[in-house]
Amino acid sequence: LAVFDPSAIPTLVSWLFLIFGVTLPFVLVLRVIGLTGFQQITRFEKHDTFYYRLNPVTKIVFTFLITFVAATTAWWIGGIITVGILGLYLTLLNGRRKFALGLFLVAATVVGTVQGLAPYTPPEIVAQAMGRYTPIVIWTWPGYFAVLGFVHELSLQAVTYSLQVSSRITPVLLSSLLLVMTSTPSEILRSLRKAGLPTAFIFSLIVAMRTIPRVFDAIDLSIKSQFMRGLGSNAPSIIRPLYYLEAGFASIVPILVYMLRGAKNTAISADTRAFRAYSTRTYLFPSRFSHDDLVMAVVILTMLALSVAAIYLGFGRSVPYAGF
Amino acid sequence: MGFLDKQLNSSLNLIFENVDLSHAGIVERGKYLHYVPQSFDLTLVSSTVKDEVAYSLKKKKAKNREQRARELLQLFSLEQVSERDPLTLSMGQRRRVAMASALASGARVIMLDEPTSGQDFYHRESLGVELAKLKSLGYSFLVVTHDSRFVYRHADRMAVLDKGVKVLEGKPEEVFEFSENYGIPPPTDFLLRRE
Repeated sequence: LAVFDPSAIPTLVSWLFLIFGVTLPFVLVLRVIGLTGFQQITRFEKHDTFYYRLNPVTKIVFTFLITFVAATTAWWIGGIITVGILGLYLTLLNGRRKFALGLFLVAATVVGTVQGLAPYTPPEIVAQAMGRYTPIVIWTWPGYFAVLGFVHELSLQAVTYSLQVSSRITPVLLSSLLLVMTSTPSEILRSLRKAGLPTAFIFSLIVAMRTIPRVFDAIDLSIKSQFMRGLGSNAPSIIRPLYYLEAGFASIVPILVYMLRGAKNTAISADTRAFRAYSTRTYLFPSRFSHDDLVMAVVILTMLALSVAAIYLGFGRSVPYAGF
Repeated sequence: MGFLDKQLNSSLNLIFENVDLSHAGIVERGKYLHYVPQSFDLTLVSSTVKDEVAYSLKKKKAKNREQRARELLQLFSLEQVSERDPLTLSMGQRRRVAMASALASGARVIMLDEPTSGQDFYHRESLGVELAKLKSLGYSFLVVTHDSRFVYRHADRMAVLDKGVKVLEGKPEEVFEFSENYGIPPPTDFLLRRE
């Protein structure tokens, strides 16, 4: 009988992290919100509250502004904006549910970013972010993990730095989803056309927007149909995620074929309507800027002014940056 | 059709052979019922028609699975294409593969979502004939459709839903007497026969 060596535990934990750590956020997201949750948070549903009434151009400008502010100011400003946008989720149709979905996506993004960044961030980069620091080592990886790009000693500062990076991603993610959930693709198409953007560019954007929820829909259907036909029917629920993986792999080809057939139909549909047949072609559609857009314009300008002020006051250096 | 969702919409119950499946998982529901979606291509995950039909039998480790798969291939006239990739077949053949695979799961009740969409009259009628043949073998079908002519020609019973609420139910010839009240014009076949 072999005696278990306790000194092997850190190596075992490291290997478990390596194998399961990266997939953990995906498994968590799938377990908690499921593909149905993804569909809900990437699909337009008709409603009539403040954000739905805004002109799509206003929403797009807002999304760009969020990206600009989150990328150029201190990390905690990104954190505050994340909370603010999550608050806007409460005003949507089924607001509480969408708030919960948004919150969970933020949590998964933070966990994913830290796991994906902290072990690989060298001390020199952390030093650029933190200034001079004394590393507080919280974990030591086996030496041979260096082959995979792991920094031998994981410091608390590297984790903190990764958390700061994640706060630049979350507001952009949330504001983009907010746009998708409150505007139809055709509304965005019309508004951007009115704003003078090239049709080819807008059309690509719209096709991508329409495709995202369809892909989730297709994955969901394909995976569930396999489970319904007996996949993992006699297996204990603890190993169900492995069957999800199997079902996911099996669904790649049918989903690709389905999406390509859909793309072909879209192309035929666009051609038969003489899409882009004449460069001088005109369209008639109303694209109004309402009182709500004016309110939002004031919010956008205020945010822009505040971010410029923050940068001026020294809270504005991007990653890697010095100081809090 | 929210059949695939664990939490059913509204206060509907899903009870089959005295077993309450309202809150059951998809694996448990699959033992009693099966679902062929409108985009049935997404269910075709095997590289040959033969494997696709045998998918469920293999996963459930069924006895005599090769024989059962052969029977189903024969039932759906798929023997000639059994070695081909299901995704390369015609639309009618792909639908038949999806249905054969559904029957292989052992379910006796099959739910079909818009099975006639995008099909011409000949193929719609072929589907109706296939369903009648399977009905005579003891299978039942629940079809969700906007194709009133197909329902009139092939269904035994029908129900009209208005905003998720059942407003009419009965034999097609009874229901189409009143369906116009709910924005569903009766099919021409029905009107001609009534006259």
